[in-house]
Amino acid sequence: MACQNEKERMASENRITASEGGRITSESIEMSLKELEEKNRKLAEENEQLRRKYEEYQRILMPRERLYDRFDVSLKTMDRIIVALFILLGIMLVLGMIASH
Amino acid sequence: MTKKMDWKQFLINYGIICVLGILVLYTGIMRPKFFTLRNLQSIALNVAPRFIIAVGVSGCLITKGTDLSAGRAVGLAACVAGTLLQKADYSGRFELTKNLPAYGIWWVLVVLLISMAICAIFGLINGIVISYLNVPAFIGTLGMQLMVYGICLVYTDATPIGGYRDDYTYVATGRFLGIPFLFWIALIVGLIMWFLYNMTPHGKYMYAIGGNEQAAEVSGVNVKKTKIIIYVMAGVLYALAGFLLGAKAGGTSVNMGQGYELEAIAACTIGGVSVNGGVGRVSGVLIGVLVFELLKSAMQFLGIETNYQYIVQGIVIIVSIALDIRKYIAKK
Repeated sequence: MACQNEKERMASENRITASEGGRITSESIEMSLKELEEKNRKLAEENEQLRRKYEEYQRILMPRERLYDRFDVSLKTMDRIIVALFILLGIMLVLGMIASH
Repeated sequence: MTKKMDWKQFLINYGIICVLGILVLYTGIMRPKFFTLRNLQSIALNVAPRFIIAVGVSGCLITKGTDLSAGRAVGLAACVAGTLLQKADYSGRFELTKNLPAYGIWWVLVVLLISMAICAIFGLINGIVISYLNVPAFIGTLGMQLMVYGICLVYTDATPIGGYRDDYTYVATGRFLGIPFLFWIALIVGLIMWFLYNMTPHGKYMYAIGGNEQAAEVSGVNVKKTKIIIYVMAGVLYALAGFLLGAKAGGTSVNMGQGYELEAIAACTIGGVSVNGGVGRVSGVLIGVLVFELLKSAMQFLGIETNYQYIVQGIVIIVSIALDIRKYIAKK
């Protein structure tokens, strides 16, 4: 729609430009428009491909991975969790030795 | 910057092994008897059957599955072998096999094959349920676990079994070139499975399925058949482990093998077999089992109370899973 408006505006400009003898300018504008349209079409295709890939990726994920994906845990948080677990491990070992003695 | 990252990567991959290594060293210093030949041999004899079980489970884990029926299958195999290999003159002989004549030494091998066949059938059922009915491995094998336990209870009537033939117990106590048979059997199993995982198409299919099942299927891998083979092989390995454990213990009951599957899964995870599938090596499984057994032995030597030992084992399992999740997040 926006493209269409742009075309009309360009066309009206072309009439003014043509009347002033600027034929080359309107052609180059047409070409730019076509290039833009082509670029837009390619981007839309790429977007569609990426969307399909993402859906495929979601589909093939095993339940466990979908679970992992759902947890929005950063690497830093995981590192902290792991360090905390190691500290807990150490504490349990010490407590176990104290409890038996 | 690069050096720091390498250390971090090393800790992520081998952190749990490093921590347990420190624990083992500490135990050795505080309790000098820990590093005696006798104790290390005892650990090796415990490692052998558990390694066989863990190798069976590793195939399931590599294909993004699991096998919670491993422990009960081990117990059933031990019970079946035990009931068929009792001494002819044993007073408390099992009712169903009471009239079995005293066959020669070849009977020990036949009983092993019978146990393997029985457990292979259960493995086949697991494989079919998971591949064809698309039941999640966790649920399918959990159901099989209960079923096998029930069958074992019905078969043995919950009575303990003992009074084994000397040629059966000799499998566990005998030595070849000074090294126990158990160790040799575990070594042979390890070599065969290493060859299977790394040098055969079946091994390639396994890793392909674990990496991306849909892509493997599209590439021409018979996913269903491969999975069935994996679970059948796992069943056979559980039977072998049960047979050896029965010989080692000199007796068995329905509770033999209880919880072994969780230990096996934990050992596999510690050894680098990813629960996300597609990753795992036989050497890693061996390291995992060794580390787990050393952990248990070290805690016993340090005199850590049994209740706390369970907690520590649980934390070690959780840490292994957490590291696995971390690797997955980093890969994403």
